[in-house]
Amino acid sequence: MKIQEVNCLTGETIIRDLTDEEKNIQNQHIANRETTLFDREINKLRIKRNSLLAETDFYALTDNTMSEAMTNYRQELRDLTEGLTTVEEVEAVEFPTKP
Amino acid sequence: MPLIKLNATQGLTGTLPAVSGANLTGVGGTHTKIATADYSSAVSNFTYTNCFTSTYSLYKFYMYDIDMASNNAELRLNFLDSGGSTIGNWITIFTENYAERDSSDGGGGTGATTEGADNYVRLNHNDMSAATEEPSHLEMTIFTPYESQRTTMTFKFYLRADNGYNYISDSALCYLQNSTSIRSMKFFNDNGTNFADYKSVLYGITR
Repeated sequence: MKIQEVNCLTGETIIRDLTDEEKNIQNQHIANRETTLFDREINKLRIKRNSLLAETDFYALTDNTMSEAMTNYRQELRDLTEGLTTVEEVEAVEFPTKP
Repeated sequence: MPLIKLNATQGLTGTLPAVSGANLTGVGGTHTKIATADYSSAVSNFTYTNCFTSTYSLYKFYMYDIDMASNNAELRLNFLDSGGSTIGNWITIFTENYAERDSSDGGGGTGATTEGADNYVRLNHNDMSAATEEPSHLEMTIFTPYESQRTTMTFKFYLRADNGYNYISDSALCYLQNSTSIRSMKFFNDNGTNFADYKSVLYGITR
């Protein structure tokens, strides 16, 4: 990994390899990312799921009669994250088709 | 002072007198460019070294047209002391609004977090897109970094994320929990990913 270093006193810009200390700092962030990766991925999934639910919220208004297909679609969306335990499972999720 | 419109058809012609600075009040101050740093290939980090000095107490930083070489990377920032060591700890109050990029109704929402005791600043809370036509942009204001005070930094991040959503964090605020004098800043990401593009500039501001 390389770093671009702009020295604001001299105006000089160099490209160099990271020092061992800089590599350690970078690697700590990468390791921390790995431990939180599942949370990140499932959060992305929830954001998308919640947006799709919001798109069809008006079907659930009391003066509307929701079709069985729409009821099932919305339930599938709600159940989408159940039982997911790994990043691979999250990435493999396919969203149901909107009726 | 009334504005005189010069119009040859009305017989008003001539040359306006030069405006002297002595006649102006409430005018002054400058943005002085301290340095720029633009994308260079195979780089995953970049620093502005010795960018904070006693000359300025207020700084403005822009980083724009940010693209990553691949998805799955958050942009982060270290502030460094005179020896090049990372300074902590930072408390960050972060709020954001987001909308789906290609949605017909812009479906989205809001989010807010408070993070503390970190020796880095998390500049965005979702991964940046690697698509070149989907750049992200950052704007920062840094208050009294050199003065051995508890520095305050505010930022806005316009994120085009790799999950199909655009985010704006427009009220992010960071406090340093100690009074270490800041001299430099280093930008990096949490995945060691190389940049694919960026442009940046740092200004010192005088009143």
